[in-house]
Amino acid sequence: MYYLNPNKSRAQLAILLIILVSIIELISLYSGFLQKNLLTDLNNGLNVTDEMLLKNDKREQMISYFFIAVYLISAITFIMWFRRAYNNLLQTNVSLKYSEGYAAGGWFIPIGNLYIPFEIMSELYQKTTKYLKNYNVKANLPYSIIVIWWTLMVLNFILN
Amino acid sequence: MISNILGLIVAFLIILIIVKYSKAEDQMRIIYESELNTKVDTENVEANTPNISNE
Repeated sequence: MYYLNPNKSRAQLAILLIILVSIIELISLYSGFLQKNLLTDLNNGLNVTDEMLLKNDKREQMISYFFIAVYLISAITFIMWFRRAYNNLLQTNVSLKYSEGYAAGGWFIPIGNLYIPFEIMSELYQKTTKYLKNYNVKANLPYSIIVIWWTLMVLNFILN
Repeated sequence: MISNILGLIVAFLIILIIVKYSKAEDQMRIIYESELNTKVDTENVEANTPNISNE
């Protein structure tokens, strides 16, 4: 038996980067709106110069590059938190379906990445609730959040 | 655009998932480590208690 590894700073870092990704997502949304307006003007025969089109392309490109970079860093920090959380749960001698490595590797296994991270997150929520229940502690971990999160995540992946 | 909005919802949900789990993980840590300390204390007491039957 070992002490559980600290996971608070990893959680904070992951949240910070997810917020940053969301901000860039909002900027991207606004930029897409500007682009749509520009294309509508172009279709309506309004005065749209080449310079305006080039500026639009450059802005869209810069946002895309920045988004990809921050998204990748965010994914890494989230997986670091996820892996440690699963490892900590393993330390408590709760029987789990996967080994610790799958919490990180499961995201990169073709087809497996459609269900392994979902199953691991479900185990985190359900087994932790069960563990706390054994000590008469009520955990506020609704399983429905996991189902909604994963459904939307897969939908977003398909749309992209 | 739909993808952007979906991305924002997914981001909000994942933050919620992390926050909620972190709170539960803290509770689990307190229980687990107090149990671990109790076990270590018990083992130490047993190790330091002289075996009367041998004496």
